[in-house]
Amino acid sequence: MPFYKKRFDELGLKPAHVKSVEDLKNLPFTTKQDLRDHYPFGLFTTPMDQVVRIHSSSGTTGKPTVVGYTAHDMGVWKEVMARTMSMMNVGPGDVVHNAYGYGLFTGGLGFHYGAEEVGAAVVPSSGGFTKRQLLLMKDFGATVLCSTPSFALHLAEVAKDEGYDLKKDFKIRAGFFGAEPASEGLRNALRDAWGLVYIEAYGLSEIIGPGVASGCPYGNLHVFEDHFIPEVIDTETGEVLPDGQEGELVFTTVTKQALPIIRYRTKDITVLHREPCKCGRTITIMESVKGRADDMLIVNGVNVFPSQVEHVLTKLEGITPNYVIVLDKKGVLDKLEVWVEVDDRTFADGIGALETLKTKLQQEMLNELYINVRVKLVEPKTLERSMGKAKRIIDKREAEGLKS
Amino acid sequence: MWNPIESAPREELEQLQAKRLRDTVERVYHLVLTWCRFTRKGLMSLG
Repeated sequence: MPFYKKRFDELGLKPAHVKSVEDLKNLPFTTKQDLRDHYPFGLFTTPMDQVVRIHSSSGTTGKPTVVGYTAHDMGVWKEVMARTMSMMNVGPGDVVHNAYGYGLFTGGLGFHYGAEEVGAAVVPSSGGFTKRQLLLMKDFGATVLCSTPSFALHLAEVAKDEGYDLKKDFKIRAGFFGAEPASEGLRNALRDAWGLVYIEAYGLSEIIGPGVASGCPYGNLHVFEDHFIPEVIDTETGEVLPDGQEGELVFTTVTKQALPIIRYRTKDITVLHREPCKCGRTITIMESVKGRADDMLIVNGVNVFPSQVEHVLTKLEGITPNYVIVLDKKGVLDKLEVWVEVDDRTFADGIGALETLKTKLQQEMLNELYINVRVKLVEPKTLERSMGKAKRIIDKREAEGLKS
Repeated sequence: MWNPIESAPREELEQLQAKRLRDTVERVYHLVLTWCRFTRKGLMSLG
């Protein structure tokens, strides 16, 4: 029996019971596990001869999740990506340097279609080859950069090392950044380095890919809710929470054909607001994702999101936003260590300045996280750089089967 | 603005959402059965 028919019947629901958006709360949830259980095409609602595109997750944490698009769905995707691009009036005359990965990951192709749809010229550079990317950005006169925030920061660092003057040699006026959380400090570092307007891009392949929500020039993240209806729920009870209250984000797609999804639990933690924005939009605003329920670390019984660590790091002078969180066990207790790169100037200041900075950071961590954190300051440019999504956490407890 | 719905009154947006939601629910509940019953591919994909 088809998946949703079975779920609806179990709850005694018929389509006629759904009259308004208010009724959404009575419908069953869909989870990533449901997609995995029906691998590869079990949740598709069109015959395969109508499917024109298939994307898939890497499957590193389980069976891959597979998503499909009809020609109509591709039209929806292009539209929402064009709407993302239009947040900064990207159009003819713009050169969009797209450093998101192309391939099964939806990031690269999503931004590609959006930029083409608004009439801009796209440079499909994908990830890696940093020095060549900088050369192309300069020589082609890129005006828009699309990438993960961590890769954009890496590009800026390498550009400085290569002797470029970022503000004179490049014309980047807008950056569309997503696929990983970024603290306000990291955003400011990118604004300062490139002199760009930071636009946050939010999406997930299960819903459509990038283009589920987009930042506006006023910094608010707007959900394209004429296609994807958002709700925030209590992670434990599944109850819908009122606007302004933090919980797990859930989406229902209402225009997709190949893979419509009812109440998909994203595991992303956020807050919704429905007040009009200064940009003129009345569509729902979602706060930047605080973290994924999956990414939340439990350290000696305290919940810690990597974004909280990043928030502290980017508040202080003398350090860079490059860091790694290392979790280990000391006896029965968890031990949280943060390795962070100092900048060149602080490193040259000597041991005394480094010790003062370390003490200050540890105190700030305690104030923010309510747990003791050991900070290890490392030399500039010694931590591994990301060409895509940044890997920020090393959990040695997992290897020992000791994760809390 | 690429699509005027982004700045439309909430009532207008919610009416559109409601219609689209009803269509989607019909789709996942009924249309699946229709194509499964009448297409060999559909039956095969359901095992």
